[in-house]
Amino acid sequence: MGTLFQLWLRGDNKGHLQSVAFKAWEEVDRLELLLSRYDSRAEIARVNREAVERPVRIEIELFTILQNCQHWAHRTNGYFNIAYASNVRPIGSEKAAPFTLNEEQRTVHFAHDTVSLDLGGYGKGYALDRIAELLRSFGIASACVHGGGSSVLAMGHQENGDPWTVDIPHAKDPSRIIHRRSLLNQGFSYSATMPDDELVADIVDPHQNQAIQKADACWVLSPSALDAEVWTTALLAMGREQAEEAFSGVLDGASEIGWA
Amino acid sequence: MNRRDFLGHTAAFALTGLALQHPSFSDDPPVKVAVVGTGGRGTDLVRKLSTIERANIVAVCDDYEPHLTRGGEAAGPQARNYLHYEEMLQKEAIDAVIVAVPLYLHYAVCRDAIHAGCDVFCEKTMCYSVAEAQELVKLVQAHNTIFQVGLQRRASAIYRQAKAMVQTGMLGDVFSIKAQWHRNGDWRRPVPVKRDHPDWQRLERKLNWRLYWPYSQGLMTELGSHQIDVANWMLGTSPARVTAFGGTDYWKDGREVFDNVYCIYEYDKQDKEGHSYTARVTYSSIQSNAFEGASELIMGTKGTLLLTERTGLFYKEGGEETVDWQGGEQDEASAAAATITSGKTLSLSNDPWAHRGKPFEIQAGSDSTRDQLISFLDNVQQKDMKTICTVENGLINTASAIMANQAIQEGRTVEFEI
Repeated sequence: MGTLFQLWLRGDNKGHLQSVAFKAWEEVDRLELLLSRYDSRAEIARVNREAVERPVRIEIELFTILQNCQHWAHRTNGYFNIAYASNVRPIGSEKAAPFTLNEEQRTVHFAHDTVSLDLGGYGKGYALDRIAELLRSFGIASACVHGGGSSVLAMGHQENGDPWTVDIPHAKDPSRIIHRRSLLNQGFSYSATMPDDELVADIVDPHQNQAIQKADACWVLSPSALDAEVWTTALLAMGREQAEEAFSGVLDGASEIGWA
Repeated sequence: MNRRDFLGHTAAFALTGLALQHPSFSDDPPVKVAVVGTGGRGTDLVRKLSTIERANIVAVCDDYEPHLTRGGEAAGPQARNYLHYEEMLQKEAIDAVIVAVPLYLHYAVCRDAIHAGCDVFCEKTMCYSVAEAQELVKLVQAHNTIFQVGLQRRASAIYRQAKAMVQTGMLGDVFSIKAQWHRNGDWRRPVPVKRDHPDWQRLERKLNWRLYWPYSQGLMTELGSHQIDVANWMLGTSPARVTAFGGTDYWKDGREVFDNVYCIYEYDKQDKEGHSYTARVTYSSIQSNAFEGASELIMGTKGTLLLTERTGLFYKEGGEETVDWQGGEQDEASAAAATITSGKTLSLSNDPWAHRGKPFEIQAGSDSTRDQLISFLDNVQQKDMKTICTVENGLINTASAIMANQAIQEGRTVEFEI
């Protein structure tokens, strides 16, 4: 996923925590080889190479992920779109989808030779949720893990009994902290687009098929780190006005959004 | 033909047609595959197999239920789950068995699968002992079993191209190979119960079998065998002898196997004129520092290959001629850089970065673990015993890896024997 992951674990046996942490890193490495389009060995890279020519059989886990991405595309009116750069109509529109899934054969097939899948707005949140599952399976109740500083998942409490917290910076001045939020067994994601005179944003409006130009930032708290990451990507692509009108601060009863 | 043309031609020869070819057998029924051992590596193999159309995973087996459940989920609903492989071999009609159990069980599972009439893919290292490996060679030969050892670098486009580059002389004469697998971690699997639980001791041994001599040969068979196989493959022979040091110096946690090993292997070679010489391979594997990670450095008189599973880099050695060995047009700055980095005096430089001009880069292109399985299934469908890593390769690899442990334990230079 090309980013730094950090992990804090609490428990009474350091050796056990070390072993669990080691296993968590192995899981991140495994997911990198499933989801990274930048590593030619990865499963998604193979899909991007081959699925335009023929239906490609893929791992059960990746198939489930792609199904979930289709679900998210519909849920966000096409603003979450892993095929955003494909120069065809986004998922959720009336036109043909950029890729089709065949559940019986467990295959993915691209509709056009410009289709390419990018799980960049999905992978970190997915990895954090998998790590949380792994930690729980080894009896760890208190932990905080983040990917790239912008995707966070917290379980339990800090050593002093306080909840884990995240500081939320201003979109145009990241040195200015405008919110501090507690995470109570929650995932958190923060996404920002860059001001025009800085780097090009990595979030794309799939309906316009171009990078978001306006500086803005959005955060989401959710029981799932994956949900939080997908929502921030979609909401930022949607734009503040439209998103606020559509969701009014509460996404689905369990998640909460904010703008920075 | 000038030198540049020569390099261009050899590069073209080396860099084309060496990726594994996977013929399509659309009319052939899929190979009915069973996987025995669905721990971390075994489940990885199940996941890869599940993406290969010509594989039909009919069964998975593991005597540890959490692993069996995970493996079964990765295999799909068509696969039946077994706790005992003997029962699985008896009940299922299986073409090929994938063996990914702990090392000390490799031989027994392979033997029983062969007796059941199955072809076999066995994870590296092939056997716990040389004696077992020798027995397995006899069994495979007697039953005409299609057999492949899971040393997946032999399926990697990078390593196959590297082999061709060595063979065509692009590196000159290879006298030295340096390889290492460095990690910073305890190499432990977490045990899902607390230490005072009555099952802790049993689960500790079961899940952390790599750390105990009765089940594993430690770093040399779990990591080193991959890289010693690369050395054997590139040098085209097996080692003649090894001296090595190692110990359990950092992780004082009850483990038995070494947490660091340092080896020097010697290979007796002959040049084209029949003169004898010795090529040496240094190998280290440590668990207290991850610098350099896992890679192999193939050092020839004309160039160096730095190999990893993701990327291969070819650096030309400095010499009298200042050629554009990468071919193609270069801008002025690049041409100047090429002149400097291949300059004569740099051959004597002590600067560790001096020779590292812009390298020729080889990308992986695909996943070698998956590719090796496809290659094995091709062999099964074609009934071709010449797999990319045969049982005989496995015997040599087993002996090569284990002899370093023997050298450490006995404090002497150990001769290669099979």
